[in-house]
Amino acid sequence: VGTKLGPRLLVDSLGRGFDNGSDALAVSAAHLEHFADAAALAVAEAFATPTSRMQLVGCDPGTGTCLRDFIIRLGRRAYRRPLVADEIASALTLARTVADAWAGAQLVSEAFLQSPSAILHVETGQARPMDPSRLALTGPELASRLSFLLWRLPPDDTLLDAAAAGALDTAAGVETRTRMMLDDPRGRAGLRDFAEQWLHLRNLEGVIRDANTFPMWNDSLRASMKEETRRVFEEIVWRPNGGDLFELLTAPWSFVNAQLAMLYGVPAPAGAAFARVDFRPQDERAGLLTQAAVLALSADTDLTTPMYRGMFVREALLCQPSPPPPPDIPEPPPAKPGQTPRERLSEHRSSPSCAGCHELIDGIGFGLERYDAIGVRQDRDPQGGLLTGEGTLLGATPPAFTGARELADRLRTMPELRDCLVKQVYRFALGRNEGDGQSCELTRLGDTFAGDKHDLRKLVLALVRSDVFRFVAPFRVGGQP
Amino acid sequence: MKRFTVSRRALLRATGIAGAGLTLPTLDAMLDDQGRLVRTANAQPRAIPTRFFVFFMPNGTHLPKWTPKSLGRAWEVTPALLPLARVKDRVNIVSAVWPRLRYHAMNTKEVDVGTHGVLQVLTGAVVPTARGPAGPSLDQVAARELGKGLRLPALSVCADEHPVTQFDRKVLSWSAPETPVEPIRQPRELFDKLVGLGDQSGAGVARRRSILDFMGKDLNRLHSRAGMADRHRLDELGTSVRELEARIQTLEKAPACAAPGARPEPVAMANATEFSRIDQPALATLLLDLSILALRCNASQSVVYMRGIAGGGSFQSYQHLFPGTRTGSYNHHQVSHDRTPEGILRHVRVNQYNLEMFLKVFDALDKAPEGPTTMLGNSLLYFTSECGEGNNHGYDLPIVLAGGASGRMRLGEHSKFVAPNGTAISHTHMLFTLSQLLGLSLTKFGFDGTTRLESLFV
Repeated sequence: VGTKLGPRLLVDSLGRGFDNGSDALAVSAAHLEHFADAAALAVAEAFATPTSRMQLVGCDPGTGTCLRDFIIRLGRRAYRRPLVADEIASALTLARTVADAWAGAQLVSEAFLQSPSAILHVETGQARPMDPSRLALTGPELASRLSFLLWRLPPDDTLLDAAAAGALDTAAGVETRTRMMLDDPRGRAGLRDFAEQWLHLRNLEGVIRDANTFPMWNDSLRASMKEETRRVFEEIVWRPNGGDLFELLTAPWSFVNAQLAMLYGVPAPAGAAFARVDFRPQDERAGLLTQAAVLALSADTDLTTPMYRGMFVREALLCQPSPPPPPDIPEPPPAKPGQTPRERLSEHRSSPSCAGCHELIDGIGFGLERYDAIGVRQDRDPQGGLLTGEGTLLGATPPAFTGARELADRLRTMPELRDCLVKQVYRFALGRNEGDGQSCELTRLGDTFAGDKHDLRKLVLALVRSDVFRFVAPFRVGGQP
Repeated sequence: MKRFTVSRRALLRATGIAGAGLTLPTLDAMLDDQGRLVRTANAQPRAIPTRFFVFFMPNGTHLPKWTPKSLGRAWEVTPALLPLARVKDRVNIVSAVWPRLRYHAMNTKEVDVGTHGVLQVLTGAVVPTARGPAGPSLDQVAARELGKGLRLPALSVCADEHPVTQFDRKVLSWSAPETPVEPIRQPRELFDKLVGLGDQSGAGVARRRSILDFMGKDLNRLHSRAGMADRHRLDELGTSVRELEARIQTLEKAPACAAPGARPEPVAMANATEFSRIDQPALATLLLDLSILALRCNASQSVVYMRGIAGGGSFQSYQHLFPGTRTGSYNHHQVSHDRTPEGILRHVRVNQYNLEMFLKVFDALDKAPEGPTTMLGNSLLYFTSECGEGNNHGYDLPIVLAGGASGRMRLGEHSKFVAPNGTAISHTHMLFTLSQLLGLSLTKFGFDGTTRLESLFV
């Protein structure tokens, strides 16, 4: 039942980042109502026919211990841990408020799916006799963490059984189980979702382009762009012997369909399918920053916006989010006829209160100006000025670069890139931002990640073995561990 | 004049349509000669509580085209205020009210109200934390005191399908400190809440109540296990559970509104912060009509209507006002930053359009007689924005007030709300003034709102 929620649940976040960020999630009455509706719908479907309800409950709830057994089984799935006696008792009481036993089973199923223990991740942990100074996550709690991380689903009975049998009590046990879960048919969902959120790919859905300027823009192109980036990511990450995630930045190959082939100016594969393409130097394509998805995501309806491209690199790849603009923004000067975006932004940067941030972001975007707002290569800006691809990446040595390929090479040399990827995976896995308390562990993970040649799957394995994953963070105030 | 006293439920039962959707504007038979509501034969007559409607237009205005130069009754209709010309004597313009926001109590540096201003609009907060402002907001306070027993005492609506996640862009209404009230954006959802859907029979309600009871027990158990930091979160959830319980209680007492038409189709909500892909004006109008319904059928005491998300996520398109122009170029945020002469004209037109929508509410309530006056006479309508000058996020909020506020408000004037030393006054005092116009028994509102704008009172 738990996996079959009809309407899309209202997932709301108050901040930036991954959709499971705990500091940003609140459960309002509106959320509860959505949960209630979804639970009612899913349960009604499961109880719709005598066959379907028998399939779920497994016996006639009016006889023997059937109802009680069902409550114990369903409760464990919903709460992702065994129920305590008190909980079983209050579920039985609820079921018996209605005369009909089947209706009682239905009512209690509905209640379990929307209860606080089902909708919150509850991680209290417990001290172990040999290690009393800190709280280790319990087996079921770890099973939940692993399952939501790797499968984006609640743990199934097999995993909960294994946890109950102590399979997750040691770092080695957690690693073994993680490997099994990654090999499972559900095993790619977690990392796929990670990529989508990390690279903001979900935002593509809302990208609008001016139809006059970009006649080839449509929903299917939008979907193709997302598919391309997803495919390249998975190709690298799921190589049998491990892949280097940094290759995502520099790969001179990709997967394209006919639409994307036209956009990139490369020979189209036959039919509607995606096929691998190796780019020639003159294609000027290499890696993520030249992929249409990323280029389209960080542009305006009809024009490129160097600022957005710079912000993407800073935020997603270097974990250096730009602070909000200062309160005293001077009026932007009106655009002069024939002025390029670059010239306008340069003028903007001459103001000291803006320069601090714009220095960091604009220079990156200037280096990507040879791709227009949907990612087509362009040699000249709309005013006819020659675009050279010269840009600046402050913090790299040397900061000056020409073109996307050099930008990617510079990024690869920056230690911030490696640290940022580790942080992003940590945030996704733990559902919260890192705090000072985790800096040692994150540095250690960063070293492991580098030693493993930036193998993302190995990073996940190192993370789940680590103390930050297996132990409750020390008591935290204000949401920060 | 002799009037009958009758309880609504008795009436419903008598007509044999209890349980079915039925419009319930206040029945004349339930009012005494002074227009006070008479609940039952034995009860003391009670004054009709003042309704509160907030129209929020994001992205401010262009002040030189908005603010009248003259004060008092002689105020001239400026270009942006043009739609108000026909009701000039029945509205108030208030100027010189400044929003204030700071990151930290010890920090005098002001925060950009263009990007975070929504936080203060109804809360009177000045120093919000990362989790939101101190609350509750004025609409919630008013609904708690004046809207007891109504179906949806406080209703919050946002006519924008963009899923901006930051609360400082989209949430005006706060039920408690740091507890946002997610505005309703789906016309269908609002329709269902007002008209009712699903099992509203006694058994259905009892069922729902037993589930909430079960959830409450679960919450108590969690509470005893949780650490201090997590209790905060559980308390939040507890507030939500209690809110739903209270709603169920009122479901039993407060009847539904009559369906004004067919149940709306679901609107495709966008799933990213980019330009509009749906018929935005249609969505906005539908939600406004349903908001009016909530007031007219006495389902809500407070209604907060956001015409759009504020700040950089303010992508709602106004292209329909400018036929023949290109796609996507006329979203509200862009319009508010375009200071070319044509851009200013467009911003003025968008302001006018928002005022036209505001007047729709004015007209609908004006047409509904209620005792010796109309629903409008028993309402306070507040038109505002999160910032003054839209382009530089400047201060001096565009404010229009209407409605009689149950006889408390004087109308037809342009007032400057200045501090004793002559400087512009903080919005917190404006909110305090509104609380007094609503007849709430408060001595302070928000961060430091204690001063009344006396010229507004009869």
